[in-house]
Formats: sequence, C-alpha cells, structure tokens
Amino acid sequence: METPQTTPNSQIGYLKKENEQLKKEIELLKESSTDQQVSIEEKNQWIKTLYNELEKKNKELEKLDKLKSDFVASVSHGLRTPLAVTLEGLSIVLDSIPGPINEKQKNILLTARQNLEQLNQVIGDLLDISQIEAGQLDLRLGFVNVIKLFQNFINSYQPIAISKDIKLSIQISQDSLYLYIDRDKIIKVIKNLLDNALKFTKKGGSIHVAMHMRKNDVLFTFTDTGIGIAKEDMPRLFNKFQQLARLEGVGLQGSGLGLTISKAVIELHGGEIWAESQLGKGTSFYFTLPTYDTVKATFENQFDSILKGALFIGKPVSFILLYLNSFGSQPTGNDETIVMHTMNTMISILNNIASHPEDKVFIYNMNSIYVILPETNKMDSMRLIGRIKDAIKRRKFVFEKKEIKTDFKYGLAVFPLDANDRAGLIKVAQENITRRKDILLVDDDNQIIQYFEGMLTKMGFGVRSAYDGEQCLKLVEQHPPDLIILDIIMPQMNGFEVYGRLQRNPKTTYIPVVMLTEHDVDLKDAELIGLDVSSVMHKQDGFDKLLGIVKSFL
Amino acid sequence: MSSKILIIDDELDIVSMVKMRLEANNYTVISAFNGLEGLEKVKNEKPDLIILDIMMPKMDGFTFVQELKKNSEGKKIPIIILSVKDKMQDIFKMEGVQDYVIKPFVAEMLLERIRKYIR
Repeated sequence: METPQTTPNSQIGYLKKENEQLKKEIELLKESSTDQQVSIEEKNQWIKTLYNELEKKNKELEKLDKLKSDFVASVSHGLRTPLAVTLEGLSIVLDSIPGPINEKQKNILLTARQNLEQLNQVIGDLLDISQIEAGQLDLRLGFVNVIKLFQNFINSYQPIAISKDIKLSIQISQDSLYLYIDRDKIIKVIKNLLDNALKFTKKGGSIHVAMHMRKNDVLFTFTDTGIGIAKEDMPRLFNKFQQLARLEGVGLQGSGLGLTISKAVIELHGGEIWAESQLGKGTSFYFTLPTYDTVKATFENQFDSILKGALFIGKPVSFILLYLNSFGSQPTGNDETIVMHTMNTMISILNNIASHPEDKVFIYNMNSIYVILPETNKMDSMRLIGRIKDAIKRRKFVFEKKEIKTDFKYGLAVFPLDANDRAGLIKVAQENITRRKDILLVDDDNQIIQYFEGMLTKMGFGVRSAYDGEQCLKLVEQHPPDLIILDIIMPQMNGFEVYGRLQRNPKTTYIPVVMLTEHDVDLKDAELIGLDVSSVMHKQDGFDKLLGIVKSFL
Repeated sequence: MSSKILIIDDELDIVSMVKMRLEANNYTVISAFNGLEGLEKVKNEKPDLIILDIMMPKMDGFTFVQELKKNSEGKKIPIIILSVKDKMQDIFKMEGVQDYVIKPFVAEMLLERIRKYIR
C-alpha cells in the first residue's frame, strides 16, 4: 500500500481507499466461506478484526474532520468579529446613542451599513460553502411551522415588491404545517429564491409562491414572470460562482453561491431542488422537503441499524426518553407553539451535551425526545441525564417574554441489558418514567429508618430497609433499587465498605448512593474514595435536604 | 434604580460597544478585562448580572466561574457566556452558567437574554 501524503485531502483520499479496501475484504471473506471449509467461528473472528481496523480508520477520519472544522471556525471568527464590531458601531451611531447626527451623516452611514451587510452576506456564503465542502455542515433540526414562515416572508417582502411594481402572491391551503427542519438554513433558501425572483423580474411582473402536500414530502414552488434562463445556462445553474445575465441596473451583487448553498441545504434535508425556465417568459424554482412522518421513519431505521451494529460488535447502546410533562398529550393553539418552542430549545441543549458525532437526538411526537447514545453504558448515561437536568435547572425557558415552566421526566433503557430491540427499549424507558421509584434505606439506627421510611413513603416512593451492610447487599442482589441511602457508621461493615462493593460490581455500580453521616470528618474520607460530596448528607440537615438530593437523582 | 451589569471580556472594542448599547437601555455597566479583574469587580461592585467571555488572558472564563462559585454571594449572580460556536460543548459542562450568546452577536439577542434574568 502507498504511504499517505501530507495534504489533508489526499490523506482523506487514502483513508477512504483503505476503508473501501477493507470493506471489499470483508465481502470477499463472506463469499469464500461457501467455497472453503473454514469454520464460522474463525470467520467471525476475522470479521471482528477487520471491523476493528475500520474503527481505527474511522477515528483517524474523525481527527481530520476536526482539523477541517477548526480551520473553518478560526477563519470564520477572524472574518466575522471585526465585521460585527463595525456593524454594531455603525448601528450605535445611527441610533444617535453617542449624540445626534445630521441628515448627510446619516445617509453616508446608512450606505456604509448597507454595504457592510452585503459584505457580511458574502462572507457568510463563503463560509457556508467551505463548511459544505468540508462535509461539516450540520443541521440543527426542530419543528418549524412552515406556513407561518412563508407568511412572514411574503409580508416582509411586500414593501419591496410593491416598490418595484411586482405582484407577490402566495397560495397555501392550511393554517399550519410542521416540518422537522433547520429553520435558519431553510430561511436562507427561501430568501435566496425570493431575492433571485425579485432581481430578475421587471416592473409589472409577478412572483407566485405555492405549496403542495404530497405523499412523503411537501413541494414548494416559486414562479416568476421574469427574464428567464437560457437553455445553455440551465445545467450550470447550481454550480458555484455562476452569475447569469444581468438586468439593466442590477449590479453584480452577491457571491454567486446562493443556489449552490440552497441545493446543499435542501439535499441535506433529504429533499430535491430544480428549476424550469423559458427565456423571456419566466422561471420556476421547485424544492421538496420530507414530511415529519418521513423523517421519523428514517430515524427509526437509523435506530434499528445502530442496534444491529452494536449487537455485532458487542457494545451497549443507551436510550434516553425525555418526556415533557407540563402540557397535555395533544396541546393545541398557543400551547402547541409553546411546546414546539420548548422542544426545539431542549434539542439545542441536548445537541451540546450529547455531542459525540454518533449520538442521535430526535423529537418524537409532541412531547417526547429520543436520545440514542451508542457505546454508552448505564452509568455514563445516568451521568449524562444528571448533566441535562443540571443544564435546564439553571436555564430559563422564555417564550414571547413569558417564562415557561418545564417539567421533563427521564426514562433510561440500555441495550442489550434492558431490552434487545427498539420497541423493547422504548417500552422499558417509558416504564421507568411512570413506575414507582424504589429506595433502599440502610442504617443500624431503627429510629432513623422509621423516620425516613415514613416520610419517603408519603412522597410516593417504595421503601425497603436494611440495618447493616450484609442485609443491604442481599436486598440489592434480590432486586436492585433506584437509589440507596446509606449510613456510614455501622457495625461490622461500614458505609464506605458497602459503597466500595457496590461500585466494584458491574451490576450495581450505576445505582446512585446518598451517604448519611453525623460527623464532618467523613466528608474528607468520602472525597478520598471519589464520592461526589453533594451526595453526602448530615443526618441533622433534615428531611427536606434529603428529599432534594433524592429528587435530583430520580 | 437600574440594574448593574458586569461585562468581562478582553476585547476592548466589544466591551465599549456593549457598554454603549446597554447604557442606552438604562443599565449601569462596569467592565473588567480578565477573570482576575472580574473577581475584584464582583467583590467591590456586586453586580446583578455578569456577561462573561471565555477566552481571556490571566484567568479564563471557566476558571472565573469556578472561583466565583466558591463565594456564597457570587454564586447567586446569573451569568451569560459570550462564546464562539465550537466552545459550546465545554460551556454545557460548566455549572453555574445560566445562558449563552454566540459571537459575533446581534445586540438585540444579548438584550433579550439579559431581560430573562434581570429587570
């Protein structure tokens, strides 16, 4: 095999070739077992070895990807920041904040700002295209009411259309249609198509936007009576830096990248974009976006193949179900908008916490979010849930200036431990949300047990109790609790020892433990064994504090 | 009495722009240019909200938040982070941060975030 060269693109080419090679070898091997007498076991071993090689190559590819995105990010920052500072400075002066300005100054500054905004656009386009070519464009998906989106667009473009004596109309058949898309990027696409239509349509012309519901997708059409596109130019329409026939008075604005970017964005969403035109008569642009149900079906397929792959290589997959409890199961009207907004906000938080490229986050119906974490075991996913809870605890969810109360419930199921297919995992996770949580109290002092048991039962928890370490471990063995409240000072086996044993057993290591103490000095010992100090509590602190800690774990 | 905002960022241009904008919106603004200075200002001026940059010399944003949390008064002050897009994951690992704005930002976005946490 050739040695890789040093430029990133050829390294990627080399690694991709290696990937192809390895894939072919796996295929060949599969074929040859019908011809030869090699045992299935040996074949599987060999396939596993090749798979591990593939894994390694993938990791190298990931590293190169990161290099590329670091490059785009730093160039982006260097270009955008000075521009943003300049634009903001201009806006501040135009708003008369440092003092009043006269008409002449205002006009000069307005022109300057307009040009800077154009520059911002072009830089934005160039950065977008370099991200797209680096394969780095990520979609931030969420529910968007596209009807409202289009209506807002048409409304904001009417003044310009009227000033150019162009009739701008829209035809829609319903009040709302929610699609699962990247709002900001689709906005760019619509803006691009409308800007083009306006640019190439003369006075007295018209632009018509329409929407057609189809079986698996929605078709959007932008039809204008503009100058049209020549047949020879059509094949190059979506190529980079194409800027076609100029209309009198229209300068060569823009980057020539608008349609290229629009095409990439639509195709990333799983849609198609194309155009039809007649020179002198007009142009129609079409694009499709999948319906939510189509996207959901794709997600379910991805879920299934992740499980299949995990089964093959013997790694666990964690499935977290987030359930929004604050609204009914079929919110309508304004509530529906608030729910969408809450879910979209939640998704962007989750995308930053479940940030491994293989992790999948998906809004499943109006009130559930599914999170799939490949190669993650129960303990790590419980920690992740802790971080999610933490992130939304401090964050305010605000919609139209009003604060929204969010009450999310968390269910966890791990493959293959808890279930061995998609439906099973979802069922277990759902059960984990609704079922009563089971707490194990361990203390040699009967009064403490009585006191806490009574209080916890009243709060709706199931409570079992043990008076020493031995009994505790026995009860855990019988049926693992959701949480253990563990006294430190006990005869024979003290709390730290019990904790140690629980930690070392892979079947119980993920169970959260709250330690009860009467002395300060135990805090230091707790730190020594790596216990999070927030889960150590003084008995005197009282029930409320205990309840707080318990709730944060469950 | 207007709310007091402390902005901690080593980019002087950004600080002066944001200061002008916020003062025009009736906030009192004080500034610091790194984490160390920031901690001093928190102690002496007791701001109602902190706007914090991550990448700074002497003491960066992450360290600043850690140090701030050690103080029982400091812990309570809401913090909005100014960040670049690719530091987002690190920010979500931080505790004690309420919200964030990605640079380069539009003034209106920052104002909107601020209004969520103070008057």
